[in-house]
Amino acid sequence: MQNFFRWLVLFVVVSMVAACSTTPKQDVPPPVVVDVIDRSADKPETVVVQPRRHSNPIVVAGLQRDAHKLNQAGESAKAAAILERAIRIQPRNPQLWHELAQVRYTQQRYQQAESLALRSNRYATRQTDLRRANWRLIAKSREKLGNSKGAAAARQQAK
Amino acid sequence: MAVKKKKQVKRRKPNRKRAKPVKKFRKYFLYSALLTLLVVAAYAIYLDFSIRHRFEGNRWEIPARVYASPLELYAGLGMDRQAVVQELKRLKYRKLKSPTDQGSYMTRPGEIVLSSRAFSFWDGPEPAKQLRIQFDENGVSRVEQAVSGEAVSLARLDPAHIASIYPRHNEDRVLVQLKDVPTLLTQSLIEVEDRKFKSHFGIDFVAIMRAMYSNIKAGKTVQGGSTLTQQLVKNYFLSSERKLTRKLNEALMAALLELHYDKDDILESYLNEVYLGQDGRRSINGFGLASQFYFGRSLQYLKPEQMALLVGLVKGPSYYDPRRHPERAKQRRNLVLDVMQERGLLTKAESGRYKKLPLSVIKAEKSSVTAYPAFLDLVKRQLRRDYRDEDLSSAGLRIFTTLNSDIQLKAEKALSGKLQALEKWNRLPSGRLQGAVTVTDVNSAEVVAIVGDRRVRYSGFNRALDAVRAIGSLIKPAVYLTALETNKYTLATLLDDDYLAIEQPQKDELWAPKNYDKEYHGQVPFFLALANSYNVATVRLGMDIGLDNVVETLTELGVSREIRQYPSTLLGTLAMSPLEVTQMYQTLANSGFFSPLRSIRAVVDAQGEPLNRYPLSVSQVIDQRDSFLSNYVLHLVTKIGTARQLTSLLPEGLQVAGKTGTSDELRDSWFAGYSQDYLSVVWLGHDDDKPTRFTGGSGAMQVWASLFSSINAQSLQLELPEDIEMAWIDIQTGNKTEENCQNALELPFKTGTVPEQTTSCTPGVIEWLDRIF
Repeated sequence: MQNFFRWLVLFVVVSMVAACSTTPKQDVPPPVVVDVIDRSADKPETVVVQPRRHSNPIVVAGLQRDAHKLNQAGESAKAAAILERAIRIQPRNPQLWHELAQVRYTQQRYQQAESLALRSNRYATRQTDLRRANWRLIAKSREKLGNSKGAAAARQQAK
Repeated sequence: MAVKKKKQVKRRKPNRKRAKPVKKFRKYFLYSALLTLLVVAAYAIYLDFSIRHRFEGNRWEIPARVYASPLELYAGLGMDRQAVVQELKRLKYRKLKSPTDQGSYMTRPGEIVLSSRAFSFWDGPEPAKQLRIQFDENGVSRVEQAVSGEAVSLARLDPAHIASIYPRHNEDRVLVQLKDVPTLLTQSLIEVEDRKFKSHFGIDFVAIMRAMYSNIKAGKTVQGGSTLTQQLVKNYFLSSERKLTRKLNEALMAALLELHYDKDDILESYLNEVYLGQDGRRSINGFGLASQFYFGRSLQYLKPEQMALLVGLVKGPSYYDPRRHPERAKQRRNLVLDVMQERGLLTKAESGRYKKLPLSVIKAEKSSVTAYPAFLDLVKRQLRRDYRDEDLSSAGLRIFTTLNSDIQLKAEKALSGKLQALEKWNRLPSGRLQGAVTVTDVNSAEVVAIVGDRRVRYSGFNRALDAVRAIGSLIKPAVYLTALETNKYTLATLLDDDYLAIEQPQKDELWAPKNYDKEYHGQVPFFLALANSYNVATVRLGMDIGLDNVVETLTELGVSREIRQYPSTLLGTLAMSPLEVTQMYQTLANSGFFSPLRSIRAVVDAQGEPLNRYPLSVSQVIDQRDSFLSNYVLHLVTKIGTARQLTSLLPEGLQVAGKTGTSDELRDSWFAGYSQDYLSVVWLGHDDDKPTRFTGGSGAMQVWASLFSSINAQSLQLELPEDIEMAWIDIQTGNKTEENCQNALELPFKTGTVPEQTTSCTPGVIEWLDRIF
């Protein structure tokens, strides 16, 4: 029994570690409905857990269009508000973070532009075009902030 | 003879010399009289200005409406039909057969049809929509126009109105309009305090004379001769001085008020301003709030004997405090009832009956007039911190907050329910244990829930913001993170958990830290020392890398307190509030990006113009790779470390990361943990700082698990950043090894830091699990 328990724990640890070592795909994982025993209550409860689906990019496409229009029209504050709303819905969408970084750049908030572009890269692990665009924006922002060394380093990354 | 001569001399001499002094004197007299008049006039104008400014400033106050975060509906939203219906109920949507009116809905199996309300948000208007929302086993599967069936990509419901506050005031207020105040109350007030209110011009000389006479006769102050107007003025300037000059000023200003405003206006202001009690630090001003405070109900629902008590309190709210001096209060109330009967407001039978009734004052429950007092407390503080008073006094402000009502209610339930259960299982006295819970959104640093007390809706001490307690082992991730940043340590580096004794500044004896299990564990890998929260290894590590560096990391993570650099700091003698701890872990959970926690998204004035925005702001303060490695270990804490019980407490498959924290003598029980989307910090302890019997794992973590089991949290997904690779490590030697070997575990490393030395592989059962268990 002890042996079995050890193997069970080992299995859990290894599978968790294995799961973490692969970059998750963009696909939606198959939905799973699980029965769970809530041991923390006095009487056992059965709770059905519904995992979240990733939301479709279409959901925020409308917001992105609106934000783009507003930014072009010079209403950058409103554009930023709309992008923030989109980010709340899809927090790991690197395109949204990139667009917010661009709006901040238009507003001359270069520190934020740089940070937000870095954040975008955090999520754009395999989107090389977007990554390059982010590094270019980071380079421009750093120039404006007087950080020429950092700007040069960023330009290198953009190649 | 001489006199005559003198007289003659007097008459004959031309009187020019004497004429000058007289004229001069008259001139001076005229000038000084004019000057005095000017001064008095200027003073009167000044008084007039200040009293009017005061009067109107408070009078036209319209509360600011505070909103929770609005629900966004889209295909893919992981909320089931029941959860959406709950939100509609919170929004007071009506359930109708045919939901065509704005603010109505109906349900069918697997779907909701609703008519949303049009609403003007800070970022634009949201028109009313008729929608059909369809659900499957994962949540919302489709959102479409109810009539045409055309798909709708995103729809935002109107936000729930959670409170009306007066931002300039520290405390809750309940302002009432004269027409909403029961006439019996106002009439009684006038009869008792100022009979001639309707006819005098601000000052009642007869009343003053009468009062002076009574006071002189009694040898002390037994009567006040102030009119309601004078009392109102006194309230504005909060002066308890009994100087004559003050009294004269009040009299003058009262007269000026009467000059400008009519009796009804003055009476209404009085009803909203008069001081009627004290609740700890907050003062109870106005009959509206007093009615809630003493009787737990609105003014319009007061019974005559309750009105009598409030009217009686005007004379001395502390002296006649019905909770502390019930006998006096009852006597005073009955006296008021007598007056009411004498003046024909009550019949003899009625007053007789009411005088026999008990006081019926509710316990000092500090029940708030708002539903989420702890969260609103944070909102008010952030308003005061970031806005000027003038901005906040503009009428009709709308404040859009980050509150998620669903999570807030679940957090309250988790805390109060779990504390009850813990007390019951451990046979502890009920009600002594206290706690606090904070919940934030990992990605946006928005505060979605705050619980400051296990008693729901209690608006006393807000532990989430103000209980500053030793954080214990919660500090350790900062130590290990600092070590990783030096690039001299990897997750596999062996640390020394053997006996250690350190010199302490300003103390003679050496300090020998001990582990929780009182054992020394010898050579332990870096990740295991943190996962199992070994004290000795941590202190040795911290001293090696330098206390100043650890303090710097804490500052980068967002800790703004002064941190003393003692060795014991490494074990968390540092005291912080739960919200401050949340800020620190927010940066960790958010991959090293610091974002200040915020509870407000926008404040908008009556014209729809934003006053100021709280934009989402980030700055990367920790290198991504270091942050990944520390998150990885914090995940291991929940798998094989001090929080491993979570595997059985949480829904199957929900991966999380976190840290337990226990302070000296088990005075404080902490848990800070996060999923992919939410971070929450839980604190348990006694208000009197006495030891509880709970560690972080046996106390706070139980509450945390109860919460995360109920909020449908997303499983943590640790994405490997660039320049991180995985490798199999022999955890006894810290050397590289292979899969399927004894003592092998796969760990992440910064590229190029994987240990080069290898340990030869002995395939077989992994013995090291014995050591962990």
